[in-house]
Amino acid sequence: MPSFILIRFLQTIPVLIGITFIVFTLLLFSPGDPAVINLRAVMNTEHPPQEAITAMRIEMNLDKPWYIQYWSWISRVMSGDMGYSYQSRRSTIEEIGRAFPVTLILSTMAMVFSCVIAIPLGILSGMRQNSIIDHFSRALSIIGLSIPDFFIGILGIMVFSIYLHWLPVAGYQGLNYLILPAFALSVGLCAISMRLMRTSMAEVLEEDYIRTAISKGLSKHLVIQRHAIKNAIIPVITYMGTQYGWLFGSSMIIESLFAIPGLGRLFVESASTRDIMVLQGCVLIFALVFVFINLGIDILQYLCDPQGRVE
Amino acid sequence: MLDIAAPWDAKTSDPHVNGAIAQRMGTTETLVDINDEAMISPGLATSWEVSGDKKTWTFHLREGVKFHDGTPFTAQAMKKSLEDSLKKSKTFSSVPIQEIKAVNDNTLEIVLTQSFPSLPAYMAKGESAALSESSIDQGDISIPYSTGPFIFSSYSPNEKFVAIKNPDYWGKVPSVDEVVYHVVPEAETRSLMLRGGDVDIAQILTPTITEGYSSDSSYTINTEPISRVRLISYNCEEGPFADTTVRQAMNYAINRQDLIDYVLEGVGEPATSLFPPTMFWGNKKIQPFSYNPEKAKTMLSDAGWTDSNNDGILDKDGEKFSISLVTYTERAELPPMAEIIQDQLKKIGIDVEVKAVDIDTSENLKNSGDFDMYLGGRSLLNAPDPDWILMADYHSSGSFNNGYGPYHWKNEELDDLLTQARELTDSAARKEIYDKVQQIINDEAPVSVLSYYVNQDVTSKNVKGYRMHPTEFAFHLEDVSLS
Repeated sequence: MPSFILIRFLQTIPVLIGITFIVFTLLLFSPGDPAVINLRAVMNTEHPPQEAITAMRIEMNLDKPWYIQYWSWISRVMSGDMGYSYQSRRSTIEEIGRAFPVTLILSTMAMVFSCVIAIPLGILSGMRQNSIIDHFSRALSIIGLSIPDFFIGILGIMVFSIYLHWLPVAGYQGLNYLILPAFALSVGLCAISMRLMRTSMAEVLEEDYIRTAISKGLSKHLVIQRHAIKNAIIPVITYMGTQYGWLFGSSMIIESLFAIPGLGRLFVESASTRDIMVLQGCVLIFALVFVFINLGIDILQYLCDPQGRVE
Repeated sequence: MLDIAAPWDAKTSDPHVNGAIAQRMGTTETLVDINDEAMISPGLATSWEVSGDKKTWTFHLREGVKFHDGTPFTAQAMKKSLEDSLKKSKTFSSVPIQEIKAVNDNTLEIVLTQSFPSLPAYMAKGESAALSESSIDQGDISIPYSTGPFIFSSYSPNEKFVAIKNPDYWGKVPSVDEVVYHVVPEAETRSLMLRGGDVDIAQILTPTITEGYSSDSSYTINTEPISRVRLISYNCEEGPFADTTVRQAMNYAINRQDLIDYVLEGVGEPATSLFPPTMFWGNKKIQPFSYNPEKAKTMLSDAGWTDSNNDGILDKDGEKFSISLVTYTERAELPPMAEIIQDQLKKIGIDVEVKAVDIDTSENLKNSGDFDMYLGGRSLLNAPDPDWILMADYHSSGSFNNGYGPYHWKNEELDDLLTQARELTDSAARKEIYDKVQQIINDEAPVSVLSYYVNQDVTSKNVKGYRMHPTEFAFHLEDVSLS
């Protein structure tokens, strides 16, 4: 086991270098002068003076060839310096250190909501196919899949904040501010996981070992608890695990709607202002999150499933 | 406690890096203030004058003013503060400052390398905020001590900016104890926060949203034209618009009110002069152009454009009147406006191809002359003085490339007037010249001004005394009370 973890870690290095190079190249080919775009936001004017543009181009290394620009950034990162924001003048580490935990909490909360809602409902509808609860959960997941998350967010605000006054509308001053956004974020994942859980449950209940267990006299309740759920839940957990990174990435719309100062917003803002060192920092973090989640899933599968332990 | 929801983040707690929000919140103050007509007025300096050679500006500072940390506001402190601004901010990169001198406690001299008439206007920019010595010594300033009616309390990036009342303020002491400025990027969310009672003021809402408040007596809709105009710039070098008569005809062929009614839900005013007449620098005597397609047609036929082959499109010397209209999508209202203009011009026999692209591509097209008409928004008073924009956009030395005005247009009379205005410091005399300049712009039509941008803020009924500022320079929260 330890060797494959080490190999995984080594494999991430070219992935990270590759992804930052792609982002760098994309920015290189996107229209407009990054110095001007940066200054537009810094100076609150569409037409910054030429003197400022010249100074900014030098500060951003734009007067040098592209490979030197990229190399100077890479060598900077290698020496442990992630650079700073041209917009706020704070360090990239500080910007990300502030935004990352917020998004981490938000997406974890969304994941918990998905599990709590999708798994029990999926199990129940898998057990009682074509019952009222099955139809109900099917309707729910179709609704959840077809309404975009920001619209669910607005509906949620209208009902729970404006009409019922249970939750704050937007902002981030405590965990209760994250309940509505996490719910809105979780809906899509919830809908799919619920259907997956139902199918998986229904399939497992058809298996021979379930029939054997029941025919040897165990109560149906015990069979489901001991044997069916344990086996049926594995593909669902795997699926939800891989979707955790997706939750991270799709948080930007919800963060913007709910005015949450998280990583998604930092990413969008640094991209739109060509705040390149912060943008690359965000990209690195997103990539690392994906890498670690996949690694975590691999380890989990290794632990759960003895058949997968092939050297 | 007063809560405001607005779209923009302060980005930093250091006003010398980015000073806009600190200034709007009233925590910082500058030598020069801007009044409700977008005209410079006394701030921390009570008066100022320029030497005969136009290179030395003397500012007489207000006496008895104290910084939030209790130290006195003096010329020495202001010198140190301005030097920090020049070092940190790019705002002043085009201002030719040679030296700043504290002559005595209350007199500050700014020596320039060359004449620069809008220096006082730059001394109103938020980045020139007066900060005490103990603020400057922090380097990257995290607690700015200035002199404003509110004291900086805290700042959380992308989240909020908090200020408390300054009981020792030299002017009118605020009535509210604390103000929280929430950064909320989505207009819909700002509106929902207002409805949910989380904030008292929701700033910069869209016409579609404010419409929902129009019949609700528990809210007030505040509307204010800002110093930004939508205009069409012409390619005055080649193509049909090189002919002045053809450009003039466009002023009658475009129905400005339709653009406002169909795209902006009727919110806004058709533009008359380049600067809005609600502001000091606007030419209040200019009459609006009437929508008169028949007159436009007559003018075009006088210029030689007639439909000789009856295909519905005008032609001249075998050349069809087919033109391109370039605009950008970053400002959502522009592409639909371009389509309405396309339709209006079709009625008088002009074939328009609309090119709605991103702002950088559109600017490249404009700067290389690859357009006939260019529809865009133009901010007029980044520094609250007309000199910069008029020199950049309309003076023949500036209007060639990176200006936003016409392409390769030259008018000697206007050039002379702008040069004359630079020699003057008296506002009334300058205003007279700039009025003439705006008249020439309307008569010669290097551009057609279409409409002014307006901001709409909605406040709940318990907010009294709130007013919006034409250059978005201040919220004037010291005048606001909560009932």
